[in-house]
Amino acid sequence: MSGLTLSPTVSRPARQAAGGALVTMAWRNLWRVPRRTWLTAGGVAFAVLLVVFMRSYQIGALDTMVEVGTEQLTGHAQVQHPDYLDDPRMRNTVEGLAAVTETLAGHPGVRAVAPRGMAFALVSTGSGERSFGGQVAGIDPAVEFATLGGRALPGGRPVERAGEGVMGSILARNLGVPVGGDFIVLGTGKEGGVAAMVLTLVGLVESGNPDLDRGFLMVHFDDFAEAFGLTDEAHAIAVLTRDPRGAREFAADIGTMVAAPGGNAAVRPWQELLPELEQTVVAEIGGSALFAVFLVVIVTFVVVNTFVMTVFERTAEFGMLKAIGMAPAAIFRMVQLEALWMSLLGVALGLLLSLAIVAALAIEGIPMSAFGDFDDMLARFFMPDVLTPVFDLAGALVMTAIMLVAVQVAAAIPARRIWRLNAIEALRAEE
Amino acid sequence: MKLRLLVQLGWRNLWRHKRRNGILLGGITFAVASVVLANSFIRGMQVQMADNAVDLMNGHVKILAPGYLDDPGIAQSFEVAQDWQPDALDGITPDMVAGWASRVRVPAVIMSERETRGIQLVGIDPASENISFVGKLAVEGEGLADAADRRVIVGAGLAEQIETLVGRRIVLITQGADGRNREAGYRVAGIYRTDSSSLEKIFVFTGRDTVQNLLETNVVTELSVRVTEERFGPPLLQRLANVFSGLDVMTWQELDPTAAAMTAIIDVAILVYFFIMMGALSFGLVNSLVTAVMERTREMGMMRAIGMRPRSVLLQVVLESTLIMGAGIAGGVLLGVLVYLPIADGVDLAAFDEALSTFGLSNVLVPQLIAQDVILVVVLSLILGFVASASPAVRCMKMGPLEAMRR
Repeated sequence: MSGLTLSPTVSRPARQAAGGALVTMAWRNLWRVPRRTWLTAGGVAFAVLLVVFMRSYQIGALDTMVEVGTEQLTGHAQVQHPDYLDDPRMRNTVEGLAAVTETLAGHPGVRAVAPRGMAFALVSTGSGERSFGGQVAGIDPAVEFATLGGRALPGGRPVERAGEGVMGSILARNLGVPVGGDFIVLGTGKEGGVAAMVLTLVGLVESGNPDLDRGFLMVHFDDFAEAFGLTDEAHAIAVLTRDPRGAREFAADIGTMVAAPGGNAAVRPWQELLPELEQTVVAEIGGSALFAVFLVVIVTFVVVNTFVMTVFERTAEFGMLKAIGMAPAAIFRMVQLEALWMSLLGVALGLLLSLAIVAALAIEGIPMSAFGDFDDMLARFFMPDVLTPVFDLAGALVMTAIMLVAVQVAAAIPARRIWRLNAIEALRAEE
Repeated sequence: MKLRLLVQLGWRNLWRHKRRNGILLGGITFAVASVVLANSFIRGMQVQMADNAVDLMNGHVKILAPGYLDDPGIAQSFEVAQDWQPDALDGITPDMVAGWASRVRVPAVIMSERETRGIQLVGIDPASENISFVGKLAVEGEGLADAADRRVIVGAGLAEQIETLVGRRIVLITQGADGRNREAGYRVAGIYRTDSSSLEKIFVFTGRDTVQNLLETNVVTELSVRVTEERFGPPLLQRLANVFSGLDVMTWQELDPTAAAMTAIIDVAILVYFFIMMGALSFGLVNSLVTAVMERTREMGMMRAIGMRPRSVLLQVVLESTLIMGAGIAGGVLLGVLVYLPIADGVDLAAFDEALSTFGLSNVLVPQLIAQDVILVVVLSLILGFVASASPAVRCMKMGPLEAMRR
């Protein structure tokens, strides 16, 4: 008799042994009604699977969006004139281009540095017929990484040397200029003079975004600087880093470095250059968090429901345990352990399933064409053609913790009753 | 056995386990309410996306000259009679058409004393622009008076860039159909603001006749027609295609495929969301129903022994499931509507300005509670309750009375 008593006077080892027995008892209790256990664990697994899979898919998508947006367009950060972001005009340039470039290139976190000049200009073929407005980017092909997220059309090549230009496919069609033909760029230089260039079209780019394809061209930075009157200066110095997530810290870090040689310069991380991209990332993560909260609450209802049934069905049993001297705290602990086993089972099942699905999808990637014909939409949102989900370990751990806590709380709600239970009355209770 | 009796039995059975069924009811209520609310938000986004696409001077149907989309200039244009009316068309009645507007939209360069920018110059008749965002602009200064107004209104973003103010003069340069540049000076009548900062930098408005005079022509580049309800779009498209043969007659979906694709995705998203939330709930539902059947095995056996038909036993389990589901759905819809009412006017999402405008959305999201969506949720939930009760009900029907009573 004394061996079964769990009064506070019992020695520590004996209580530990009883604790171990509780764990085993809880596990066995679970399998007294296997269907119920599976259904409840299934609910937990369902929530874990959906949340972890959705997060994995989303992280894959968002990472790629940021990667495409930054690596093919803005870079992870840009050194600009402090006013250029709000007011992108010709005279807002970063001075000391050579010195800033050298400083940046010496930074261990920097992968690439590319100077860019930007101007609005009129493009024509010279035969005097039509001219079209367009955004001209001066780039240095030796170091440039931007591809505009577009596909180079066959038959052309990128700008390689001075005197060459590449333009959007619709612009070239409107101008009627073939690859190999000449065109003229006319604009206003930095000091207000006429900026003129005669260039040979060497390639076409098609991004799928009509605004871009209708009014964008790239020329050699040297031609650009000469025509628009830039000396050792640029409108932006784009930087690729080794860690896109740390762009803000990186910008703050190099901010002091470039301020010295260049004088008037600000470093903008991609979050400031592409605010819509960052907001999309924040909004998507916020949306999925809200979704996860709803799902967890519903599953918690399911678990409370299960434990109400469990606790009430076993009134007589608990009464008996009390009568033979088991402390209410120990019975409560046993029920909570049952909940723990059950949630571990569900979480493990959910994680395994989501891992399997993510792994299977990651091999081939998810072709976006499977969702319909969204070519130009993908181009606009910096989306690639194939999406590769990335298993979200951090999200999986957080979800596991949330689920374990939620199930403990859910089980505790009905299990409080154990304290109020009168052993005699409980034993009399109907089976 | 009479259905009324069965319903009564089912109802009383539910009350035998107040706590358990109360919690199940809470779960159903929460799930239904969350689905109803989420639907209203998703639907709100969809309506707004479509509305904005139509509002962006597309109309539901737009007529353009062939080639205009590639090369949006005055060379790609057409003539419209001054008194042209779409509701005079065969089969189109005035109540189907919300309005129409013809415009001259050409690329142009705007110059202030300080700066030069590339813009889209749009010549409008302000009286007919109630069909687009142009009619709803908040203008500081004055708006345009009529189609012959010789002043311009510019966006706040552009005004800041070119450093101009109300009352100042600007110069517009644009190209005629002959390829020759025309330029003229105009006074700024007003400065407009929109929800989207990018729009403000693109569009400059003036009177339609003014642009036609500048370009020495009487043609327009586009004609938009807005219908009162989306379903009137296709018949109108059909008629217009006949009348304007040789021109491109396009729907807003063709003009803005991104917005069209997004609105199409949303129809699916609503269903996906429902099945996920109610799927999670169904684990609890099945669990409760199975338990309710199992613990009453003896009771059911006895009912069978005293003459209750297997079909009635089955019906009773299904009824119990339907009753609790029905109560939960009613509560959930009620809760959803209660939460919806105070936010029905819209939720301010200014923090996501740029991302929203990328998706064609405004800062204020107005949720849309549509009866059709609520009905869909109710019907699908009832079907789900029905399906969830199938396995326990069949199990209990299969059991013979003697066997059941012996347990």
